[in-house]
Amino acid sequence: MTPGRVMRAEWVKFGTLISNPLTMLVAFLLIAVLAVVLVWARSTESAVPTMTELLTGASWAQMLVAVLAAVFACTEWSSGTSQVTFLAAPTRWPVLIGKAVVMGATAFLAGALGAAGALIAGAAGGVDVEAHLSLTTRLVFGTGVYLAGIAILAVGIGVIVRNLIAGIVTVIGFIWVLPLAITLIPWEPLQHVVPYLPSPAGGLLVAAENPASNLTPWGGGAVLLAWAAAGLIAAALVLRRRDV
Amino acid sequence: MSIQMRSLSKRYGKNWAVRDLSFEVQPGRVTGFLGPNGAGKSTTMRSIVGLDRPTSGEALIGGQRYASLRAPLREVGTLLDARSAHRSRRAVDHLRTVATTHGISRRRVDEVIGLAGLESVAKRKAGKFSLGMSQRLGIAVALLGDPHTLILDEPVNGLDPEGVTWMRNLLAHLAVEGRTVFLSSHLLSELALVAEHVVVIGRGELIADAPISELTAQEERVRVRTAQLDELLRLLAGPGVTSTSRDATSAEITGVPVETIAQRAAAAGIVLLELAPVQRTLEEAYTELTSDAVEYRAGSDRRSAS
Repeated sequence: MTPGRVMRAEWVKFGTLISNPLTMLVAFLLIAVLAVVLVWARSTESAVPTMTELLTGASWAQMLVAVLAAVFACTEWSSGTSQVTFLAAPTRWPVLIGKAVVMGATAFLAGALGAAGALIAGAAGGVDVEAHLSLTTRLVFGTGVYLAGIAILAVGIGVIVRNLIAGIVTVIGFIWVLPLAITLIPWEPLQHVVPYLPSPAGGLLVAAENPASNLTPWGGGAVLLAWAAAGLIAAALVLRRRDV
Repeated sequence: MSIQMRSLSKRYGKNWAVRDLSFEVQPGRVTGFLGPNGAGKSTTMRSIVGLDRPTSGEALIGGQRYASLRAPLREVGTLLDARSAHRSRRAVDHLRTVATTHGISRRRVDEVIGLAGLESVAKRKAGKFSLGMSQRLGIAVALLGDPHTLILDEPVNGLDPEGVTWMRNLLAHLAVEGRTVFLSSHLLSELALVAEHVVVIGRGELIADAPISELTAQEERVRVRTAQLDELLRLLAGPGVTSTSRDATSAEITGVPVETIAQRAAAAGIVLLELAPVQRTLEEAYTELTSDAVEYRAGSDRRSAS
């Protein structure tokens, strides 16, 4: 039993349940197809979408990816496979890392390929992509990193919460509801926290124009990845101490 | 490789599920693990294989903790819960997933599918399995690494009679090969056929750790049936002799050897219709040992007490 083999087993788990690759495919399509629709809609008004608008689908894809990643983790306990999994890997942490890698890698591909598809659609529709090649590269990789970071964070949350419904609710609440809820609280100092939450920070990676924020796009990406790492560390500590 | 329990204790909140449990399970024979529901059997087994963290004490396999084994599944095969496969995953994929963690070959996966009699359902989703088939899948997983130690919780649960016989033969065969087989069961009559040694726990504490032959040993007891029962009982009455009448013509007599009964009856002209020694069953021994330790006892109708 090696960590590498445990990781390979997580890939087998991913591939042998058709719903997993299918969901990642839908995430990819959400980004790419939405862009196609947008280009077509704008062309009827003789207008052209901005590069940021082309990637609107990314904020929907992140939700889908987050839920899938939480489910990928929580399903060990809801389906009873946690017993078999941790009998095979009693040191436990390789399973966590394996799940993070599988979710992170597939989410990255869904995001990057989706963004690439969206920008190609945009280019076909008249968006001047070539003039901003470095921006384009950042948007493609950035969308990949955005989705990957969210997915890894969701895996960590899933392993900590364990219960399937609670896991989904916690992930949606933390990633989507929390930033919105804070902006509704009329307390000025709290608003400074919002850009440093995982989704808003990562969102800077998929915005072509930089809003008024202290963070650069890649700074936002770093913040998101820090959240993801913290989630994994917390999950590892919890996993080590508790009964399976 | 023996399994050693050393002062194993596990507490949930204020309740001790298992308290200062120490015993050893030896290789080369089948050891039964008995106890009332809630006695701590599952907790003990889960603690051996690292699923539960003990509050104090330890459980060792061949002197090592389960988590420090380099290839745990190649040393210990475990079946605790039959329904441990994902509903929507095919049985063969479930086995592949486990096999991948240890680099176990595809050929071995097919081998255990054959061993467990799952050839016809291997490509079916685990959610469509009956309890018996799920149990067989669990055994297949346990045997995947060809381990020298087997830890099984109620392995015959849900198996049809043919399956029960198959399991009995499989376990006996594994023990004869020198492996350590540790299994818990509530089917005492079945267990008595295959196990040599039992460990009995109750309320988290050790009650007995002995060979079955020792637990079922008792004073000689003989069952007789005759039309002249009252006459026979009067004939045999004496110090240390007790009898329980089952009905008008049959009784169980304790304290008199079979030969003596036969000779005395013949001398008095009493015709015996049935004369047989009675062995105390494992079930009787177990009930006696654990009567104080039963946690969940069904309400009894006192009028119909036997």
